[in-house]
Amino acid sequence: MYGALRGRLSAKLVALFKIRDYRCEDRVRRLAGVQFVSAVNSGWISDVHSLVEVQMKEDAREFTVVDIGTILGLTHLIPEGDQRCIVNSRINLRIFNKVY
Amino acid sequence: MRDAEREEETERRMDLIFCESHFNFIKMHLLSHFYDHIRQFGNIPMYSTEFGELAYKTQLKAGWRQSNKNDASRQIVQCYSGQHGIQMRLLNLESLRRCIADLSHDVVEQLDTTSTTTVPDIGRRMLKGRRDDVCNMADFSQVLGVSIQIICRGLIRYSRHNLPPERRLPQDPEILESLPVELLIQLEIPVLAIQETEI
Repeated sequence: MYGALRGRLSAKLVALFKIRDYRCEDRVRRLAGVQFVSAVNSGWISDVHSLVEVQMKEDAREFTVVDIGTILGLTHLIPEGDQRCIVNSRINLRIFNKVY
Repeated sequence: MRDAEREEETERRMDLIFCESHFNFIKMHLLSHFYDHIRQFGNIPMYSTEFGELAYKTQLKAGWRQSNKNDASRQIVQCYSGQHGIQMRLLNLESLRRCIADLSHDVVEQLDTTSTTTVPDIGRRMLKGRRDDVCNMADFSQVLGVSIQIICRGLIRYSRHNLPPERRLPQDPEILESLPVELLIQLEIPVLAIQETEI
């Protein structure tokens, strides 16, 4: 799934929140509200730069709820033109900026 | 000659290590009795550290948080003993009331407001990173600028796809909106823009 991203997908973090379900043993859910991007070319790497491209979705109001534990970490998206970004999966941000 | 000296030195060190390290103390000795004890009496709950560990919360941590961190041990003891004393007093008054003792009107009123049985002290710690202006779904939606219907739809979808049926969130949006919500503050960490080397 999502080609080279191997089942992972970038998203913009909108909110980290807790919701307490007092009806169900006062259970607390630790959740995150995110806005997913869509993987260009099904997530397969581009021939130009050998990196995966993603595209911001048109509907900015989209709000997906996920469990906080499913968030793997930060991702570096390099803007590239019209609502598109490259997923920098090669080098860290500081070195990237020095090189380019 | 040097080899002999070296051997002698090694022996001296080994003697020192062996005479200093031993297991001849009570904690290790008790282990040898546990086998018979468990076979005879069952498990050994009195050796559980769970109660002691939990007691830290009320006896130490709460007092530490309320102190000014200056000569904290005295303040911790005062805080705990004060709270403990009040709780004992309330329990005594509760038991007196159950026995239909003649209590003055103001004491009965006070007991109703600070009942030890109906409102247990759960000692829940409030997160420092929590936004104070959000306590329910309406506040949450207002702060995020996302409509409450979209948030509820997202929550219901998450609940259906990720949670077992008995643990699902309420599917009725009205009930969902009434659930308490805490929004956590996100750290605003400056990130280098493209082709910038210094922030």
